Amino acid sequence: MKKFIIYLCLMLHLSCQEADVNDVSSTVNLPEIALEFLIHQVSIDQYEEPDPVIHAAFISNESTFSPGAEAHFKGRSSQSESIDTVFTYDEIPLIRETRTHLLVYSDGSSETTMEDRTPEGINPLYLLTEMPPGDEMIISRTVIKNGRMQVFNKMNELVFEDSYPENNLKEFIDSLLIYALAEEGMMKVAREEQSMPDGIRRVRKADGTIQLVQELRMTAPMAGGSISGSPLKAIATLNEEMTRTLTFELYSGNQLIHRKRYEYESDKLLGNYLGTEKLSENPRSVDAETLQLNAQGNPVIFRSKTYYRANQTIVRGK
Amino acid sequence: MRTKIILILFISHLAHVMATSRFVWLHGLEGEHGLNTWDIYNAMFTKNQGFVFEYSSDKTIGNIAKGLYGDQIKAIDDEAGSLVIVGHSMGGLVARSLLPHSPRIKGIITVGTANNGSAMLGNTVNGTVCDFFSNAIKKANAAIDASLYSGIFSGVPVTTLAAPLLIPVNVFKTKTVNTTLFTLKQLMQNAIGIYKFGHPCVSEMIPGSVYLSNLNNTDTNVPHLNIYGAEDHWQVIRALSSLSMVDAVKNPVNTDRSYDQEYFPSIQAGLAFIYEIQTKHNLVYNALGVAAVFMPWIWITRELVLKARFNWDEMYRYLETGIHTDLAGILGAQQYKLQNYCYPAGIDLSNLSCKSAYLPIVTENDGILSRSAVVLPSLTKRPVYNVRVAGVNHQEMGNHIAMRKLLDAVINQKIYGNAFGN
Repeated sequence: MKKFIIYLCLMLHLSCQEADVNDVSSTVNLPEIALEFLIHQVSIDQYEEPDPVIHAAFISNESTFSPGAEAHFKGRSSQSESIDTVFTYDEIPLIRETRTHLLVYSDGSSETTMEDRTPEGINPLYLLTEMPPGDEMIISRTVIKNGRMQVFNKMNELVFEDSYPENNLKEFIDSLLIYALAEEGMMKVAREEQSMPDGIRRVRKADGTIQLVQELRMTAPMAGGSISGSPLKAIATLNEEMTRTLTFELYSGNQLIHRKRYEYESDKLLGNYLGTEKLSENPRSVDAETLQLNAQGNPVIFRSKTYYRANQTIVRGK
Repeated sequence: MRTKIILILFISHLAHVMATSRFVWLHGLEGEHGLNTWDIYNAMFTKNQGFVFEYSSDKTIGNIAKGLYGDQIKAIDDEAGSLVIVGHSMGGLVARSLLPHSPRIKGIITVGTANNGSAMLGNTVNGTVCDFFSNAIKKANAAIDASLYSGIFSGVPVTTLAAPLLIPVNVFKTKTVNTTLFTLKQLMQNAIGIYKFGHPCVSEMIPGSVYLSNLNNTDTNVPHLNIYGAEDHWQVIRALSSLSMVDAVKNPVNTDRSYDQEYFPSIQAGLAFIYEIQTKHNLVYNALGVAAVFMPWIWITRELVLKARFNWDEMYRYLETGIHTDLAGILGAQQYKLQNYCYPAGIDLSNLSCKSAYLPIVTENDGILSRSAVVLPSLTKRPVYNVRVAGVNHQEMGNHIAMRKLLDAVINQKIYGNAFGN
C-alpha cells in the first residue's frame, strides 16, 4: 500500500511537471502565418526560328537587326520535308514542373520550399548528352528558412547548404494589406476616375477592353532585352473591369520585342485572397515571346509557356 | 653439372632481363612547372625503377623527344633492360615520338593524349573559342538589371511590393556571378592561355597536322595502351575544378580526394538561387495584381516584373544545360545523331508530341579532349588497347583512384602480360 501511494504521488508529480511543460509551450508566441503563397507550374520554353506567319507581329520596317537578318524570318515552312536538324540545344523544348510553397509569418520571417516535380524522362535535354546526370546531381528540393538554404538531390541527400540572408517581408505584407483591405467602392473609383501619371495613357477600345500605354524611361538593354537602344513603349490590354491583363506588348521604337498572351479559367487555385475572399484572379496560362539576337546577330524568338496548376496568394488577417 | 650451371645462369639472366623494365613518366604541355603529374604513381608502382623526367615545352614534339632521350633517358636505357614510357596529354605524343630513339622501348602508355589532335586547341589558335562564361555573366547581368529596374522605377507602392526581389537577386549576383562564374572564366582563360604561348609543339597538336598524320601512319610492333577519361556530366566544369587546384591534385599526400567537386555544388547552388528568384518574381507579380486594381498604372509594372522572370528562365536553362553543351562544342565533343524526342504541347504532360531530328549530342570527353581526339585504331603491327576510365577528367589523371587501380592492374598484375608490366 505504501509503495502504491508513493508510486501514485510520483505519477502525479510527473504529470504536474508535464502540465508545466505544456503550460510553458502554450505561452510561447509562435508567429502567425500572415501570407501563404502556392505556385505549381509547368513551364515549356525554347528558342524558335522566326516564322513570317507565326511571328508576323515581330517583323517591322525598322532597321533593328544586323544587315540581312530579315532573311532569317524564313520559317520552317520554307525548308524541305527531310528530317530536321537541331543545330543548337536551344531549339529543344525545356520542360520543368515546379511547386513552391512560401509561408510568411507576421514578424516578416518566411520559409520557402521549392520542389522539382518534372516527371522522369520528360525533359528532352537529357537526350543531348552521352553522360546524362545521375540522380545525385539533379536538384529535387530547396528549403530556405532560418537564414539557411538547403539543397537536396533526387536521392534526398543534402548537396549544398549555406547561409541565406533573411528576407524580412513585414513591410511587404503591411503594404499589401492596405490594398487587400480596401473597399470595393474605392476600387471602382480608382478604375474609373483616377488620372494616369505622366507618360501613361488609358484608351478604351471598341470591344470594351482598356489599353494602358506607357512610354518607359529605359531602353531595351536596361529591360533585359538585347535588340536596340530605342526607348521602350509598353501596351497592356485589360478587360473592361480592369481586373485582369489579356495581352501585354513591349516595343523598342516601332519594333515589337516582347508580347504575352493570357488565358483564364475559373479555379479557386488561381486567385489572390484575403482569407476566403477573392481579391483578383491569376491566369491559367501565359504564353510569352521575346525577340532576341543570338551570338551570330540573327533574330530568334525565346518562347516561354507557363501553365499554372495552382497560383494562389492568401493574405491572412483582417 | 655444367649443363645445370649454364641453365641456372640462363634462367637468372632471363629473370634479370624480365625484372628490369624501367618506367619513364612524362608530363604534358607546360607540366614542367610545379609538382609533377606522375609523382604519385611513380612512388606507388615503380619506385625503384621509375623515373619522372621533365622537359621544356617550347620546342617541337620531335625535338622534345630527341632532347629528352639524349639528356635523360639514354643514361637509364640499359642494354640489358627495357623501357615503358608513360605520357600524360602531350607527354603521350612525346612518348610515341621516342620510339625511333631506342629499340628497347617495349610499351607505350598514353593517358589523355590527343592522338588525333585537340579541337579546343585548334579553336583557340584560330580564334573561334567563345568565352562562354562571359556569355553567362552577360546573361546574368541582363536578368539582374531587368529585375531590379522593373521593380524600383515606379516608386511607392511598387518599390515596397517589389522589395522581395532584392535579396535573392543580390545573393545570385554575389555568390554565383561575381564568385563562381567569374572564377571559372579566369580558369578557362588560364587553361586556354597556355596554347597562346606560341610553342611549336602547339601547332603540331592541331587536328590534321602533318606531325600527327606521320605519327599515326607509322606502324611499329610496340604495343600501345591508350587511356582516355570519360568525365561525368558537366565535364568542362569538373575539369576546371580540378585545374583550380592543380598542385593539390598532383600532391602525393592528397590521393583519393575528388577535386572535380570544387565548383560543381556552386553551380547547383546557382540553380537553386534562380529558383528562389523566380519564386519571388511570381510573388511580386501576384501582389502587384492586388494593388493594380487601385492604381491601374501598376498593371504595366507588373508585366515588366513577369517579363524579367523570363530572363531568369533563360538563365536557368543556360546554367543547367546550355553552357555545358556549348563548352563541349569547342572540344569537338559533339556529334549529330538521329533521335526521337517528345515534348508536351500544354499542361498535360502525358499528352506528348514526338518528332525525330538530328540532335547535337555531347559525346564522352575528359573536359579537354573528346573521345574521338584520343582513341586510335590498331595498325597492322601495332596493337592499340583503348581503355576508358569513367569519371576521370583530364587534370586528375595523375591522381584519380580509377587510374590508380588501372595502372596497378597493368603494371603489377600484368593484365596485358609483360607488355607494360614490370
